[in-house]
Amino acid sequence: MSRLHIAFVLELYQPPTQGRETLERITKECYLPLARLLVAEPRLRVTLSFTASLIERLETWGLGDALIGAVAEAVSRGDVELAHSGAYHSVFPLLSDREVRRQIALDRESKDRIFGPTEPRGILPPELCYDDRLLPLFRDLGFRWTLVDDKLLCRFGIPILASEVYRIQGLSVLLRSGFWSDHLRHPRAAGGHWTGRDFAEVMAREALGLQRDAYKVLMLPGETFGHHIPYFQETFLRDFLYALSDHPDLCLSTASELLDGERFAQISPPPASQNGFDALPPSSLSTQVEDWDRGDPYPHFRSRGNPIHQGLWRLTRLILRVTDRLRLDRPELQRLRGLLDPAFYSGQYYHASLWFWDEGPVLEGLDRQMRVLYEYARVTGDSQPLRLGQRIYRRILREVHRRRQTGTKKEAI
Amino acid sequence: MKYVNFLFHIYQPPTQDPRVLDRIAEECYGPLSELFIELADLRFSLNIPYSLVEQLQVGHPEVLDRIRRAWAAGTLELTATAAYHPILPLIPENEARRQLAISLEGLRRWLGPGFAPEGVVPPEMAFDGGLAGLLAEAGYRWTVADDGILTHFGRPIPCDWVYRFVGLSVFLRSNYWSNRFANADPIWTDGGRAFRDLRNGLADWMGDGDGYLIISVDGETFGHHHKRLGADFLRQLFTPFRDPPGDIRLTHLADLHANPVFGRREGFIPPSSWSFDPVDIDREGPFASWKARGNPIQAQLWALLDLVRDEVERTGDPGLRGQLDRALYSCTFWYASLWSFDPGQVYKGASLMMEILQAATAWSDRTNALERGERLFRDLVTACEVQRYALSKGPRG
Repeated sequence: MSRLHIAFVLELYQPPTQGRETLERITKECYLPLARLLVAEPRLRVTLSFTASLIERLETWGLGDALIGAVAEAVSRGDVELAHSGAYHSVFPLLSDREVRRQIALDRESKDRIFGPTEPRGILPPELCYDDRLLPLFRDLGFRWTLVDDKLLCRFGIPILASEVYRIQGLSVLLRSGFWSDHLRHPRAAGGHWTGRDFAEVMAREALGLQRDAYKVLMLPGETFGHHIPYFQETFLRDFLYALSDHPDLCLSTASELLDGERFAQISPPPASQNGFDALPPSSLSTQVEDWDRGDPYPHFRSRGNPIHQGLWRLTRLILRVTDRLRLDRPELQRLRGLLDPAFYSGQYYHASLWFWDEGPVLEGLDRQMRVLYEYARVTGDSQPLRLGQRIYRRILREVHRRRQTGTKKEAI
Repeated sequence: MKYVNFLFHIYQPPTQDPRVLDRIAEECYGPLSELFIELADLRFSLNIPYSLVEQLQVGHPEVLDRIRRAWAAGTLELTATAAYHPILPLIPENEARRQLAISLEGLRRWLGPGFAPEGVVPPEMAFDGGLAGLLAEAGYRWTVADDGILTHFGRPIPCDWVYRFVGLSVFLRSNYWSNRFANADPIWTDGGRAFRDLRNGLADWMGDGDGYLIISVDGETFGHHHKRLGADFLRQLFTPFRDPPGDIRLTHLADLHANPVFGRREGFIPPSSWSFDPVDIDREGPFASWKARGNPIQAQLWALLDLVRDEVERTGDPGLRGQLDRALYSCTFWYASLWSFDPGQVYKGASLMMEILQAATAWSDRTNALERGERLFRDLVTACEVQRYALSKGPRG
């Protein structure tokens, strides 16, 4: 009997600016119930990205003890697999290689400290922001697999694999089911959210016609379960787990387990050099075909024609350019290094997009970036980048004010 | 005898671009200081804060050398003032005392321990009763305020006596005569014409009696702001004082203060400055050019400055303290006023404040204070950009 292996990949993340009140609420509604579910249900095999930024926030606000203990128990038992990511959830394809390596190293350090030494198995670029350029870097750091959203592949005639896995530059590239992952997060057309049993039935129907084992990777924000959708960890995850007993052709796997043995052959993607990329298109988990056609592979983070995005990235590039010249491991630059690490978290760019416009995170991010430039000027005596940064800062504030005045979000909608 | 005092005020903010200073030194400070040497038998007064001394020591020591020689020769009277040109009535008293002390110490390092001025001229002649008490307590005996506010309040403007206010003799700068120079009165085609007007004007006002007049202008007026009023104009203006037709002569303020002919009368001097605007005073306050009611940019600047001061105090770091002293300079606030709006100048001062705050909070790790400063700075920049945009659109038709 062929089986459909379902891998849930959950990303738990909070930005480095997250306040106590919000984090406390999310912990109560989501993180803690989810962690307790993982401890209570060993059959619930999932891959978890527990980002360093979240660990830091939990520790800062003294909210992590019970949560981290529960996750650690599930991890040590082997039911939960930890995947790595960028410590502060930055948009990898738009950072320098040095900063990407640093973000990953910090994430590993944080996890190793909390959960004991972790093996580099899977790497989830924040928001699944992908670029072929990242693959050799991931491979050099010892990772076996990464995850890419599958929504753009049809646009280029690249098959969405169900029973094989792409192997590119020595790394296994799993495909996130964009359709199902996105569907599960939203109410159904008939009303109400998905239940685990309903979803199991749909998956079982897909499994019916299988000639050989197949897989499906569903990646969702961990906060979906209990925070975005109340009690979803119960009504979906636990319900799904119990429904599996009625569907022997369905099973749960961690992402790494999909690659164990010879179950799924590893193949190369078709040549794609005419499309402006080597193997797979640059994308994020929210990139739609029309975004790509408009020239926006990362539409929520750097959209063409969005002056706030333009300003934020101009500032980011300036900071990367000037700090790239420095040896940041020198003791006198430790503070600069510490400011640089959380400066480029994804939320500031995300909330500058038309769809998710929220000036609070944008301005917080802007200030985080400016702190780097002030510190750079202070420790190096070179204030030119700060002056240029201040000009960019003013332009961004002007655009923020304009958007505030014109209510662009509503118009866009 | 008619006594005329010319009190030149020369100043540059601590953030001045050295290239701009070079130009001003060439057009103004150089020729003016040469004139003090050339007309050694005359008497002039100069108000120079430490902020400019510091910059001239680096870029134009020859100017300072001439000023020092003219002071040593008795041609030039130097007054005390505040080091970095803050608006003294708008800053806390301990900051005001500190500014006076820094300037005095700085000028003593330059001129020698013998420099012990009895008179003090507050930046922009911004003056109020509280400041008068502070100056008197610091040991100063006289100061100078602008007479425009007295006209506005319908109070007498003396020519043969001197106000006594909160333990301090207060000379009054002639707003009318000073501004004719500051605005380069077009009928003054040469300095001789200005001298004749001045002599006749004094005779009309004072008749045959003794009297005095104080003219105080930015030194940069002569040669920099107005090329026409350069060294030649000044030479034509001052040369007749050497052998005056009639009883008119140049004097120092200290000599006026010591002259028993001019007695003291107790009287109230309302808060004001030499930039006082009678139209705005009731609505926006006496120091509206730097802190107007309803000006959001100035409000943010003052709030940011308060925060920065608190944080620097917490660190106790002398380097940051020194930077804060410089950040108090008046131009930042002046250019935030609607009538003199220049966002570039506002940003220069506000950025200096932010740099100090960033460094102070790095020291103390007080993230909350930094975040508050960042919010203030954002609001400030937004208010500036909104005003820049509004002004660029011009009046609506």
